Amino acid sequence: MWKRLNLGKVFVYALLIVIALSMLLPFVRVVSLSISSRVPVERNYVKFLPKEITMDSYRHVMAEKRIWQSMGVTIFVTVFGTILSIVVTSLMAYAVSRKEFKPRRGVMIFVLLTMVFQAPVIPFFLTVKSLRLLNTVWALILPLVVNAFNLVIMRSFFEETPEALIDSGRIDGCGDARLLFAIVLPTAKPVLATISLFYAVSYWNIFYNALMFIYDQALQPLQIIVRSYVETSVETPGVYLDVNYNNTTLQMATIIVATLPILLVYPFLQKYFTAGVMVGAVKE
Amino acid sequence: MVARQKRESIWGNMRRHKALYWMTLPGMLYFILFKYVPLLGSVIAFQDYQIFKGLLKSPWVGLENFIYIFQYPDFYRILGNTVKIGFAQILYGFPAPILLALLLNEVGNRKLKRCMQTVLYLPHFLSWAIIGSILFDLLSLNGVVNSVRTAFGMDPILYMQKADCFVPIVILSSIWKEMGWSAIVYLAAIAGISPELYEAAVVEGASRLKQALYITFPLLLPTITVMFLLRVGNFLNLGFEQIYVLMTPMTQSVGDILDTYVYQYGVLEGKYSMTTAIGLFKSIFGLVLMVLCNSLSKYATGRGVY
Repeated sequence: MWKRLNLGKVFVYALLIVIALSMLLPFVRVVSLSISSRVPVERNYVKFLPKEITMDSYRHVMAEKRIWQSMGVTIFVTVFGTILSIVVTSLMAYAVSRKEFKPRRGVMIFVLLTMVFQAPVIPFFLTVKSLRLLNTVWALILPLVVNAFNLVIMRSFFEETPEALIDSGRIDGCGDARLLFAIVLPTAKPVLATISLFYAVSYWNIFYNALMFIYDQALQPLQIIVRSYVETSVETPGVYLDVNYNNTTLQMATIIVATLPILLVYPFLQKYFTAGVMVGAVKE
Repeated sequence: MVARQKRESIWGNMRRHKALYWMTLPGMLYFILFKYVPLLGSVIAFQDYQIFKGLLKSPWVGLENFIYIFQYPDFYRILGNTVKIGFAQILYGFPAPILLALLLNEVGNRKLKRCMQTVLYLPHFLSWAIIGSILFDLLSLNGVVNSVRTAFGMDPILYMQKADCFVPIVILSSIWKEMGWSAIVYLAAIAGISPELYEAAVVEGASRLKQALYITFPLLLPTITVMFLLRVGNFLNLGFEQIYVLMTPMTQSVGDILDTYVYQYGVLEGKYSMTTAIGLFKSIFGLVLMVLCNSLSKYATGRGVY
């Protein structure tokens, strides 16, 4: 009996380890390629471990003007967008979480309907165009300000705030704005952290909207630049002969630059978004 | 009389809780501008929309745009590609997170489980632009897969340029990206199962496999049904970014889907009315499919999303 049990366990763990490795090894390879020298990369000596370690690819990437520009755009869009999203979403979520707000049901239906009836891309594109947002950073920010799903999660968390806390606040003479910022938000830190991450990732990874709305090279976000390496990936022999990098190592270095912020922030926030947050969403 | 009373109380409510109304204003504005206005703008599917005339002055053409796309031979190729990929995504992609959640549930060590989850959720946070770039490298002539092939004396294959490989690459990469993240819902549902059930099963001498098959899985079914219905509603929404990023000129014949077609002819070439008609067709198709599956599910299991 115990032997069969262990066999099953071995199988489960082996499978999980294979899956996890399939997710980790590509990153190991990206890092290794980005810090290897050109010659071993071209001779295909680099599999998962770096050869002839050099930081030249990073030096070159960081010296490129378009990388700095797009980095600036992406950071601005992410920071400003996330703040705006959190403010707008939490204001709205608070209102619809209060029982004394009469149209709360109507407002929620109004929001949830947009999840069922999604507008086609072209009218969306034309709307952004007629708002004169085309080719501005606002075209990357404003269309993503509120996510209905995030709003629903936030609302169900706000509803958990003990009514006694709200009442004591009211007795102290707090208005709704004070209640939200002094009582509800501080008790909802985990959900704030999670939703901020969700928003930040959606701004950081913005791609299709940039493809549609931005023509200027100087306004392109990082993801478009990452993609542009694939399009120019036909290796021209002799171009990189006197340097320590080539198109592949530069591409990998750019990928690292474009993912590092997420890789740094995400593990610290992970503890918040397991069961609790998602259960709130599924309840709907 | 009743109606007036109600209206009065709404006004009173508004006066008493002015702040709450102000708080919803920016959000409402957002939904109106970026969700409802485009939804109304879909009427250009029934117009010959001209950008200088605008929505109000463009001539109405009835169903002409729809007739045009249904008579256009390319449309069926693209719809076929979309349906084929969408079907494969559900067939292979949908069960993956359920299996993963069942596997993860067998990990007893909490720390190990958390570590696993960190790794498994990670790809969800990366953009398709990045995953595409990584895939192009892994599957290139110098990539790891071809290195293994040549080590075994086989000829290297240009995977990204092979039409036969396109759909499997799309399916595998989206499973790879979203499997961990989608498993969260199922993990949460598993966490809600009463431990007494397992204790009783252990007393009866059920193995872990039997517990998973006869306790965990049946109790997951309601969650699975809901997730399935939501997924079916998005049957044709394959996600533009993934396909756009993975497609090469050699794979365009099998990779072109409704979304990439709309981008090419709508956004880039300005055939707004025709591509809106395609978009509208896609939305309605998804909606009908979901309603159909929902009533089917209600009939068969008594469960639905609404």
